[in-house]
Amino acid sequence: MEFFINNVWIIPALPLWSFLLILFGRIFNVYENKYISLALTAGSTFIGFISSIFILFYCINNPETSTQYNILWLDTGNLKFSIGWLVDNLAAMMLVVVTSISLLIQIYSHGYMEQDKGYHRFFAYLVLFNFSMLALVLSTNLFQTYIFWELVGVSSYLLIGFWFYKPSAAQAAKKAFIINRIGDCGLLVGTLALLFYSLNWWTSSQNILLEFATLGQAGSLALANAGPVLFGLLALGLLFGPIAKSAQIPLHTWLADAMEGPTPISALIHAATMVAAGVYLIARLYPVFELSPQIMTIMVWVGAITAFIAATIAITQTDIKKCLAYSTCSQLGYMVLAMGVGAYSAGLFHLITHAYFKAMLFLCSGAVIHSLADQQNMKYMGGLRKKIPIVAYTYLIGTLAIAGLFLSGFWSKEAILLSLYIQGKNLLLIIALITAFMTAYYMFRSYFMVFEGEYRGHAHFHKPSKIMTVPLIILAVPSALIGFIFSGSLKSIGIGSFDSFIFYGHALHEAHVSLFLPICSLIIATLGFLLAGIIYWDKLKSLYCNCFKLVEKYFSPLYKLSTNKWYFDDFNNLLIKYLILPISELISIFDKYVIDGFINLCGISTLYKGKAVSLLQNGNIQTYLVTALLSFIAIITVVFLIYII
Amino acid sequence: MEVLQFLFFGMFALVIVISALGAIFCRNIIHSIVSLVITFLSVSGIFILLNADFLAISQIIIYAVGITILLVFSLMFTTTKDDNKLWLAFAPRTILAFVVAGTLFILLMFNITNKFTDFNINPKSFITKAPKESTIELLKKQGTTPIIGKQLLTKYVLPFEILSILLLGVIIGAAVIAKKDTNEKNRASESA
Amino acid sequence: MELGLVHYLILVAILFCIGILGLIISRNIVKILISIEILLNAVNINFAAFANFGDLDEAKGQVFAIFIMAIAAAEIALGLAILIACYNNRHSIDIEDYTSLKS
Repeated sequence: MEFFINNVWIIPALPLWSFLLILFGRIFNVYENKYISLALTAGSTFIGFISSIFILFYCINNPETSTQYNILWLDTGNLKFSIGWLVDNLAAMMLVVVTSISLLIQIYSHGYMEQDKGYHRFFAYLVLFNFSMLALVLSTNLFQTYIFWELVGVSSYLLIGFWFYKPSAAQAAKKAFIINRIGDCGLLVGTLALLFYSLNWWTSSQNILLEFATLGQAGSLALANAGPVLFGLLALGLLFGPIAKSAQIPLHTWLADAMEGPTPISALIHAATMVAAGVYLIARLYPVFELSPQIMTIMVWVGAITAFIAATIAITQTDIKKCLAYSTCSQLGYMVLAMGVGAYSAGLFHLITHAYFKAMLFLCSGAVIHSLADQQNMKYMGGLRKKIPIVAYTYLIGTLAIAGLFLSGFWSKEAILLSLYIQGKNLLLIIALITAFMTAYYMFRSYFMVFEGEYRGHAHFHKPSKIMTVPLIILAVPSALIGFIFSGSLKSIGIGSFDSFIFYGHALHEAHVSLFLPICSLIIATLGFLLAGIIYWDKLKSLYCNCFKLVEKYFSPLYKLSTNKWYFDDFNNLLIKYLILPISELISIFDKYVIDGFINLCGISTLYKGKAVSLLQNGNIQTYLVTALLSFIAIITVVFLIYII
Repeated sequence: MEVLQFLFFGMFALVIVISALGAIFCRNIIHSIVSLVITFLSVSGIFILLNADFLAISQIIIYAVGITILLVFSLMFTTTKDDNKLWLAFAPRTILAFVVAGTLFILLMFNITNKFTDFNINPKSFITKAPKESTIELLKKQGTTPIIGKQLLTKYVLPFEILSILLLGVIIGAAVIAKKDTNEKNRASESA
Repeated sequence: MELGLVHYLILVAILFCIGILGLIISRNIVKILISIEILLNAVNINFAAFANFGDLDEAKGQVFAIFIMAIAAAEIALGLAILIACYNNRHSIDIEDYTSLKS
């Protein structure tokens, strides 16, 4: 056990090594066989997974310890930047989640991508992502986090644009990258401001620069130095990183477009792990955010509004992946909301359960899409339960889990609702419950549209291979059970509740056990299920063909609002067209005529001077003679004039 | 005597300037060579006025005969029909040439007419140094030839010998350069 | 008015400037050589004049004038040899055609 704790660097190092091997595959003969890439990728992740399991058990047995090791990386006199690894309960949990989901998705990807030309490239990107995500989880300080945060963004960019020859994919990759830049800019500014206002403390103390362990003290010092307003802005900047990465409003638009990437990528990066990194960073920076109540309020409302709006958008999406993407967005909003109201454990608990079931849902959708020859529109699906029962039942498990009907989502959502209830934030509670209702509705809607009823499409159907279905079955287990396992119900056999393992400040004790909330949320979820069933399940009502018309008829404005994604993209386009483009054109005019003009003047004047002098260099010896004589006369004249004067 | 000297000087100077200008500005190259010969002869006259009889004779032998013949022979090798078109250079350079020559002349005239006393270049100081009586006697009997010969074989014997080597080199060099390249000829015939 | 050194020097200055002028404005290579001869003659007169008015006892100026004449002969011989060699190559005695110094 000690060995794994002390050599935790192996976990990110192996993926990096595999990445380099695949990158320079021509030298190492990797490209000869597809299984070599798969073995390198999955093997490195598998070793990481085993180590993570051991580390997790170590952390469960010794919950109070946190191990960190630092290497001096940049020594600039006063500032000594370090990189290293930090293992505490949170990191151990995240390691297990990331490695286990990655491992299954990598195996699944082999089935999904087998026919693709860019198979090795895909695995190289995948393993690069794995490396950066694991290193991000293990970061000891904010700078290291920032580095891997960017690297994760790059991997995401590469994988969204994996099919770069499709214009939509290239656009989506660019969009994701640029929107993430906005957030990263805020994060960098916040980091530097935090460093600036607490610089003396860092340099005088022996602590590692910006390490998470003592960030709280530095934060309070920065608060004292900067004053509440500046500190609030600083924290807002820091919050912008998670807002962009976790696709919160107003920077959420990239996530739906990111579905242009291959489906395993949507599952791994844009549902389970990378987008959750934002929440993870909030958890790491919790000591700083906690110092500014306004920022916590902003966080709460960003989360709540995202959860609500994304759920309303998901209701009307007909693209199965977009539907799931907005669902992800909504659930991330839930997590941010939980972090904002101080339900630290509940938010992270939801992160972990969500990672499992959302990864599984995406893999199911990938299997469906793959078997229907890249058909993504749910209107042309239906009745697939009889053809691919494994996928259908795992999707059903995922749907039940995310809807909060008894499976793992129930427990984590319950924890969030409970903390809202305890704190008496009724408005937020109502929003959360409405969102839960909508979640149940749109998830069952998608389930019914895809797997029940009659097949409405024309595409030729072929069965997904075993290598794709086995990971689904494996993922179904944690999706169904992980919430129950960590809910605290199994205390008698030695597994404590999640909030006694990962918590902020001091562990919450079960202060309030009420049957009101669980029953309420179960009823709401069931209502969502029933509504979806009434509209979409032919066994309840065979009104499928009329349903869209019905909704369009009676809820036309709302329906339009929802299908157009609340006009966020249009708003952004207008903003760019009427605000940013004119400003940048003004700037470009300045650039073109003043700065470029000056530079060109220098260039042109030199050019013409050169041309003027080059007239002398015409090869005619008499011209040279004239030049020499003129110079001679000039020198003589000057000398004479000096003597005369 | 003085007046006669002045008269001859004026005549020779006038002929020199006119014929030198003619040598430069004549369109026909033969005319300018003839004009050049006149310049050379007049210069030899100036030499006689300057008590330099040996130089005057040498001038006629070397310049007015030797070099002129060389020029004419080279013309025989090189001139084509349209050479008369080659007169003056293109306008900017011609104007520049007048500017340069004029400025140079003005500078020289400043110098000569003793404007720059600070430089201690006072031509009159040379004039005040009168020749010895014996030299004047020698000049009257035999001219400057004995003086020059004595100088060349005593004080300036080393430059004199070097000059002879130089002349030998020039003879060989000129022959080699002007000779038609036999290899090239062969090559030209082969290709033809 | 006595005939002095200054008059000779003025003559030399005029002749020299004519030589410079010819050197620059000529297009015919033979004419350029002619101009060089005029320049050397001007210098010779200069030497002879200074020898006459300052140094008749040793006549150093005249000795140098002899040297200059020898070197002028050498120079004109070489110059014309080069001219003939050039003419064999390019069939032109126009100085404008000889601009290979340019590159």
